Amino acid sequence: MRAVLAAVLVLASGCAQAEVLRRDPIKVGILHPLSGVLSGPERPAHDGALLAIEELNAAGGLRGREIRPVVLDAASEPVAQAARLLAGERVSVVFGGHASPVRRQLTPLFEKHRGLLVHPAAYEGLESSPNVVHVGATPNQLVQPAIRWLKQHLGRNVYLVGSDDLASRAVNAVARDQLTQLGGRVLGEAYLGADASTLPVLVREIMTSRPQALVCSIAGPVVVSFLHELTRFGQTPRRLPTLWLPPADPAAAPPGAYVARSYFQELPGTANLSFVHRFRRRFGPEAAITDAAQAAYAGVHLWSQAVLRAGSAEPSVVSAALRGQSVRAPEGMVWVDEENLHTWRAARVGQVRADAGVDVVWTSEATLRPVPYPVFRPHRAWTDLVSALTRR
Amino acid sequence: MVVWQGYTQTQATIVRESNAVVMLGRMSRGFSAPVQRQVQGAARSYLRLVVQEEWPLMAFGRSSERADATLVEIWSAYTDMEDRERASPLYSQSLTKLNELTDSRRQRMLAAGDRVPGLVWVMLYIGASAKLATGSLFVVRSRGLHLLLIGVLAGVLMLSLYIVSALDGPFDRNLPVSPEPFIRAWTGMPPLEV
Repeated sequence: MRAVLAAVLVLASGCAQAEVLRRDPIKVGILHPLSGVLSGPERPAHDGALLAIEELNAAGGLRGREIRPVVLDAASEPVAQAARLLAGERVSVVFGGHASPVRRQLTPLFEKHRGLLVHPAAYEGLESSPNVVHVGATPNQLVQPAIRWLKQHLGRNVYLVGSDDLASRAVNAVARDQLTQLGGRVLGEAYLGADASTLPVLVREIMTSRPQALVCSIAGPVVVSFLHELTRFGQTPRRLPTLWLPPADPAAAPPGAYVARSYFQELPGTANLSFVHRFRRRFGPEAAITDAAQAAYAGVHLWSQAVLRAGSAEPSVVSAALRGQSVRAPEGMVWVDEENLHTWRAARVGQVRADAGVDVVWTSEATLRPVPYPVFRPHRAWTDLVSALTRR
Repeated sequence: MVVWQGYTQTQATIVRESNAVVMLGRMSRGFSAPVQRQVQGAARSYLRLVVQEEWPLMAFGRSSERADATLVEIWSAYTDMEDRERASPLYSQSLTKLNELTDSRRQRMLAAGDRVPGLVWVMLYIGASAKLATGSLFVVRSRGLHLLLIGVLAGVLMLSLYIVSALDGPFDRNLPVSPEPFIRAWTGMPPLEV
């Protein structure tokens, strides 16, 4: 009799504990640089993720469980901050991003801790991990279609300018390969460091080569000096059409410049209008609603659907459930690829207006399959390129 | 008979479509490595999406947006091709196969939404009822034998109506067309170069 009573008590306490566990909040990390130089392009992604989490919580959470965000500033020691989220806070997922060299250091960390990183920004591709979901576009979803558009509409002779970093050099490698395949010509390629003293020489060189278009993938503050120098030599986007590719921040693009992205806040449709309205109500009328902000928002929804499908917030289980997941995002339908955990998205080219808004001038015929390693070179050649660029 | 013909035609369309994908993959080996990678990668995705995503959707007369997108990608691989590669005799043959793939896909989609019209169903039911009624007018000496004959006639008519109903939607739950040709094509594709 006593044994039966003990068994009943153990069972009851187990059930009660299970109920408490079920009601426990799901901890998630948000990790973006929120101060310093990178906060400009990265804060909108933080805002997008936070908005989605708040909306999900307002709708009752995930099966009654609150999603509790742990926000850390990745401006300093980002790898240590990520380790803190994974090992210290034991979060189920991290929604975050950083400049490419840092993000590439995060990937092995997430693999080691069997964590899950949802990265929202368009990037240079050339990586694939079962622990990282890239909601941002790969080069075949932005760089290749944008270069095809450029060759058709602006001309075949192009000059490539980028910042002296891994992302920009990798993006320009893809741009060069695509242009060559289409019968275009790269007249020159230049990479800018932090030193702006060489800019006049560079701009003169660009003018001498007489390109029909300039492809700009410059990230960081040096872009301001570069634009100033271009304007000083009379090379406005009207005289020299310019296409801005990631990692260049489209917010820095001057009026008349073309920008390639999957999402612009000016997209039509009630879903996007509602998203823009909600975003501005939460973060203010001046808040930037970038491609990364929208991708971060979609990324949280994709993750939440996977948690519901898996019935667990365990990263390895959610990672499997994320494959094939789809969501109707403000930009349209977005799917997670079953094989490489990148997303299927459309490509767009917009032209910056005088009021800093964007007119969408071209949209891809269909959603584009993500190919992290572009077809122009074998997989190994791309990994060798990344290794060489990382060693620089 | 007409419904059965439609069903077998759909099966033939599926075989033709999957063969066209396989042929495109094989012929892409005659082009440069980037074209080969793009065509084979897209073809593999196409087959996977048709089997995993589109087949269940077709029961509701719908298609996969992603399968459509991969078909657009295969077209782009050929329309973006350099002039030097377009000179290859494989180019026109590949375009023929690509047209065949596109055409077969369209036919498959039409078959998914194709149904016996409501008026024909009414006529079928009226015809079956009339046949049963006239059958019961025949005089047979044995009452038991008469009931048996009427029962058999009713059974045959019911089975015929069931078969028409099952074959009517070739992708519905009853007697669906098998995606086996696509599965074979998908699993038989050589792995992509790493």
